[in-house]
Amino acid sequence: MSEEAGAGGRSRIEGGVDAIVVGGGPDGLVAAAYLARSGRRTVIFESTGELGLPVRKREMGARRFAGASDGEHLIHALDPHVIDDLDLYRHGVSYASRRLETTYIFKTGERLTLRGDLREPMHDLEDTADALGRFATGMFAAAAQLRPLTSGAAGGAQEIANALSGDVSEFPGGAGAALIQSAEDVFDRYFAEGPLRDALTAEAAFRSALPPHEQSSFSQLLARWAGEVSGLQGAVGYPEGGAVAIVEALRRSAQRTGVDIRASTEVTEILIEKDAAAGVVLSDGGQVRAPIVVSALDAHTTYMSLIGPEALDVAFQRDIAMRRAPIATVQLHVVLADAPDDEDARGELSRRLVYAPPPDDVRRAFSATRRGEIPNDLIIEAIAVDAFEEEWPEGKMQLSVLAHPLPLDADANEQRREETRAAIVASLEKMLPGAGERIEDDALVTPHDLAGRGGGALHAFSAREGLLRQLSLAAVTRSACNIGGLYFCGPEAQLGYGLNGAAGRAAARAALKKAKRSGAAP
Amino acid sequence: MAANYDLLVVGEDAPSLCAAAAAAKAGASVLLAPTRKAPAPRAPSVCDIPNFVWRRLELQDYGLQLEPISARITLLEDGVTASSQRSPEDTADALVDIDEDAAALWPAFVEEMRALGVDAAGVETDGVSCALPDVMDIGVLSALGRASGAASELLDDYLNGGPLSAHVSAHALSLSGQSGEEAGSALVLPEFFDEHGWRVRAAPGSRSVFGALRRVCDAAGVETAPKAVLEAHADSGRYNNLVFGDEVKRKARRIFFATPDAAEAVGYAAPGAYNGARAVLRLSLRGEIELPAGDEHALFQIIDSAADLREARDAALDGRLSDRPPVAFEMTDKGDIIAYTSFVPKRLRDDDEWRDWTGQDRQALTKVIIDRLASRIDGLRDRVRRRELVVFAEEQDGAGPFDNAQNIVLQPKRHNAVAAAVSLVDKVLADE
Repeated sequence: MSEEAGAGGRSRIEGGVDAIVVGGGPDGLVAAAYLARSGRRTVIFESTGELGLPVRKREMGARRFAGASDGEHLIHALDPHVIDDLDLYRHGVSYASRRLETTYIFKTGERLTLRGDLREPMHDLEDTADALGRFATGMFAAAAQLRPLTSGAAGGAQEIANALSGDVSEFPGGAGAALIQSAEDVFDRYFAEGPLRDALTAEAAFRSALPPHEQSSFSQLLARWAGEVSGLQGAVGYPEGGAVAIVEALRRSAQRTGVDIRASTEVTEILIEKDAAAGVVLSDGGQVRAPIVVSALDAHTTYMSLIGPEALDVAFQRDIAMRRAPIATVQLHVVLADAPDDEDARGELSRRLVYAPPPDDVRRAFSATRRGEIPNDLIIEAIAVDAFEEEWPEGKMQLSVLAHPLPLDADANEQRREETRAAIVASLEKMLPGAGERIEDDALVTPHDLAGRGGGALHAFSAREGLLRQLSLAAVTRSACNIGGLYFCGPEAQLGYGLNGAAGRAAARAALKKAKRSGAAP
Repeated sequence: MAANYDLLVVGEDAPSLCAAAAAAKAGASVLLAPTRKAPAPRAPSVCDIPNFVWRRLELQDYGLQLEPISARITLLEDGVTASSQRSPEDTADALVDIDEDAAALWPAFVEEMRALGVDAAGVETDGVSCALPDVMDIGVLSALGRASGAASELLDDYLNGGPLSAHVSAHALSLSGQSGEEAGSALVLPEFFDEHGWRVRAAPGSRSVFGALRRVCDAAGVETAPKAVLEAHADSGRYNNLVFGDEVKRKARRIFFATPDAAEAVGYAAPGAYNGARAVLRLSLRGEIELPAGDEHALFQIIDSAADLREARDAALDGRLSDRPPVAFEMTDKGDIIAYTSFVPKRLRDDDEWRDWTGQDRQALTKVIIDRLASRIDGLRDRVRRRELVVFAEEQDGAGPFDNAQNIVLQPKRHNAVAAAVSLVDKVLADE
């Protein structure tokens, strides 16, 4: 790589770089690894000292929790192409469980366990088993049709229309109808009132910006079921070492392919020359020039801060400013005293545990959150991280808890932060009676915490809107306002939630395709 | 009466009558059925009847003359009144005193909303299905993104959440009982600002809208069932077996609801509907009253602020009566007040148990609506001679008459409901 000093010894200009990736989060690592694999000299700039944010290892006191991660704790949508192409299994990814069962716990104390594959017959459900079978068949067919979208393979406007227009015989109206309908309307067609329906209602609302009675609210569930774990569509997996093990494998893969990772190096500007990206300016004033720039930062930071409105047309600015719902998921790590000491009880904990409030309470929770209040009843997804370790640590147990829906500014001040924690503990208590009194240590991880660590915009951590709106925002942000050589794989480019990598892969592939067309050999 | 019909249209409102007449004129055999034993109070205004419907139904031959309502007026708290006219420019001039900045943006806002309607026109979303245009580009996708978002986002962008924002919210969103935060509520705005979203009423000397439309239906060969449908069951073929309140039996291939209100009134739950229902109150008055702004041909809305919509929507979701629901009202040519609200719960909830409406609930709602009206109309309470309330929420205990029917077509709530209903019935017949 070449370097030259500017006139008068001013800032350096670095050349010889083929591709720059701004932001070392999961999608940035994926994009960089793909670009480097093609022989491009690729540099990642990450403003913090950490890669893979917002996912990071969670340490609590002196206790060892190998699997505890901030940001995400399960895998359901990691792009299988990314796993294969970047050789993630060789770089350390393995699953402690590939198809976690889910135990739903209701306000009444009743429990319902669903298999890791919803299409497997569940005879213990008796009269609702057939309904669940028909529902799962229809939904998985509709979700499968959306996979070109959620995998990033279809990102253009026409490709999106094509993916949505096909018929799905198992789902009346096809994937387009599945996107627009409310979860409650869809459930009405299959289920009477009862625990199974309540469980699915909580699933549809979990991590969604939309309450289950609102238009498009079913689409969140579809996006989740479009994913797969080890070839099983709709499964949820727990990686050995927790979700942080995935980003660690991505880092290793990127390094192995020769990506030049520059942590603690902040990009302050993306250079645009003659309507094309030309490189970046660093906080020390130095420039690094390259014909390909991929941003893995959020859209507002990428376009409005690093590029600036003067280079963007007004409609594009309006579209990327699409408001995100002020609703979020908040994480609480909890260390409990008195871990169960018998195998059966531990076996019960080696599942995904979900507290499913009654649907009326779920609706009220969304109403409260939209008013900026902290709801009384939260949907809880809890993982007993110790249950996936080879040895269960003596006498204690750690839970990683995701709670939803909460206001995006759930930690506006210390008092509100404590109220948020208390609300999560109260819902946890409904799920696991007595848990509140057994808490020895805990740590709250809010969107504000995650944004603060990565330097991104808070709204990038908002809950996901309906998939149609996500599709629109993803298509607009990926279009990069037609700036040549600029590609986008920030959070707005991803459909659905969870560690995914498809946006990073799609951005890199688009860059490589364009370079190939223009004859720019590495 | 024939025994078999192509179409059963359930409802007595203008969109239902227009759809029934249009279908019959297109050659379909049509049966029209009421939703109630006695007609519900009707507001004097109806949504605009566009030219293509006017011509199809030859309305000029039936003594019907329509004129636009004079204004949309919102009576906010502390005596603040916001009023808009059909012309965006006239509106901007009239609104300067309330919010100068927002008034200046009004014409651009209206234009933007109409443009959004054009951009999103190829995307047919009704809460149940979603058909995308064959050719998509980034402009359509962008419109889709904005239209599938919250109305409050678009209102805040232009109107800064001030009184004009409350004014538009009250008039545009009250139709469907939304607060403006809901996904997809933005889609209401383009049709609200569409020229056919402006309501009309019979001009002085004209035959009544419903009288004229009834005659059109009769002339077109629409048959009318005197009693409501008690049972509708899919037969083994493509028809529904229908049993009416007078025990008459008929068959119909398709069942058509031109408005969700008609569906709700017969216990058929509209997909996508929250627990919200519409209530209409007719107040017969002694002597004359003076309306705010002195305009008897306007459509009024009463809210304190836009927050009322959210509070009332949340109350309905919870199965409670709000103590200050947004209330719309109009004055009839006879001097009655027709007040209505879409923010009452379809079912009520006590101690976590859902239940149907009772006489006591109806009394409570009547009082709340009169309180809202009296807060804006001087001397109203003393002049009420007679009151008649209808809640469009049929008792839900047991199966609804259409629960086992097939081939049901339901038009979502629309500001341009006549145009939409006739277009939809055309599509249904074309599919046949």
